Amino acid sequence: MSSIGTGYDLSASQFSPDGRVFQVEYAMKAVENSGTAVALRGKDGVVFAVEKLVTSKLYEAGANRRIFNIDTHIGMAVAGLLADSRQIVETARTEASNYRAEYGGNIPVKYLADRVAMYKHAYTLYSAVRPFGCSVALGSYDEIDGPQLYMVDPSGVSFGYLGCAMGKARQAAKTEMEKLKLKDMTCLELIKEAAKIIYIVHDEVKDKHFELELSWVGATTQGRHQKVSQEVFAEVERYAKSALEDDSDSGNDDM
Amino acid sequence: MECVLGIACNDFVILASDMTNAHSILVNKQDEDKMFKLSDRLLMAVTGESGDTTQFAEYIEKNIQLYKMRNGYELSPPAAANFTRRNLADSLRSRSPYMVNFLLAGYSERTGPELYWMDYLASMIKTPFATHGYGGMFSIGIMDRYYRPDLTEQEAYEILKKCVAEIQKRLIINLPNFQVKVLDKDGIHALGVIKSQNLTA
Repeated sequence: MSSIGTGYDLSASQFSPDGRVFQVEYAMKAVENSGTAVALRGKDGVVFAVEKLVTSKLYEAGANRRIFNIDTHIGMAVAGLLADSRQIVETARTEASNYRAEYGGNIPVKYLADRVAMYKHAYTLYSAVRPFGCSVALGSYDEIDGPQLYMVDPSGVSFGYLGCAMGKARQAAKTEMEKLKLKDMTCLELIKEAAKIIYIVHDEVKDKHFELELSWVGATTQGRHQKVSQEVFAEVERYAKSALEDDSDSGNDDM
Repeated sequence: MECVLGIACNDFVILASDMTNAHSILVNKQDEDKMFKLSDRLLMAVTGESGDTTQFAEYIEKNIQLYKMRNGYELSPPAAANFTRRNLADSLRSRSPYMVNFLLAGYSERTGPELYWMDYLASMIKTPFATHGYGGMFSIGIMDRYYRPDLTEQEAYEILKKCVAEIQKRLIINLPNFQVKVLDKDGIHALGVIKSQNLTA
């Protein structure tokens, strides 16, 4: 799998003989090195949970957030190079603002995901720039269309999801997600499960300290995307930590 | 001078526009269609500078269709109205602004039937009933008197007939024909043309 694209991997404007654009694949590798982020779509909302790895105890708590607001009704969680992601956030915010100026209302999240995907794709076409080393998940809720979740990867491809994961433990996270019946779960159930997934897939050996970031948008928040409140956060964290202990007790670790 | 009338009720929006096309003292035709179908659920009745009307209406119509082709769904009536107003506002401070006044009727499951009044200065209001032109000045009082949100299509048509009768009685300019179209959940339907000889009969 890890092949060297010698000579064909120097710029995004080159194809390899077997039809790959290596720069884009390397960008996806950059995403795989970042802390895990999961997003789940349920019956009445979308939740985001991010494992924000903290490499030093000297950092201020709550610095370098990885979940952002786009307008009031869309949440964006990012994985990959944080500086690259910040530019995508700015672009998305500008798109939403322009849409409001032109059409007088909230930008539909599918439309925004398409625009972000087009933007990221443009950076995969030229040798003068490099692709964005970040994946972003966009989620929103409104009464008519319900909850919607989209993810855009560095190649500029976007899909709609019931549940998506990005970052280092995304395979493990996906496995956990597939056990859940996401379609029938409420926001509160989802956010507990999302936090639990983050705790389960977090690698205690390699990445000791992490901060959990949680946010949601749904019927409970009246369609506004926001960080979960202190009380909900505490309750969810307790659930996730205790579920983690139950899981290890049930012996799914290698002895 | 041209005249357009519009009434929005719980289940439909009905628009009426005169059919006279004139240059100064010369009448070119008495059967012009001044209503433009922007989409299956959007209808615009336009008055103003001849030429600007068609250019602007067709520009908006094509852009609304383009949005639908690009994104797979239609703009809602509020979004379409705001988009139209934005274009009018941008053109206002350009070298040659569009001189158009119009009523935009829209229907969607989300919002129901809506009527927007817009003028050449890019002002916009959403309103239950509205008019443009000198004929409108006679009509708005009649609409104030008889409007109810739960009117049937036939009742609203009767109100429009009253307005047209008044215009034909009191407006110095002769506007013999008025075209009437209604927009409801099943799309756009043309109702009969109100002709002056039928009213005085």
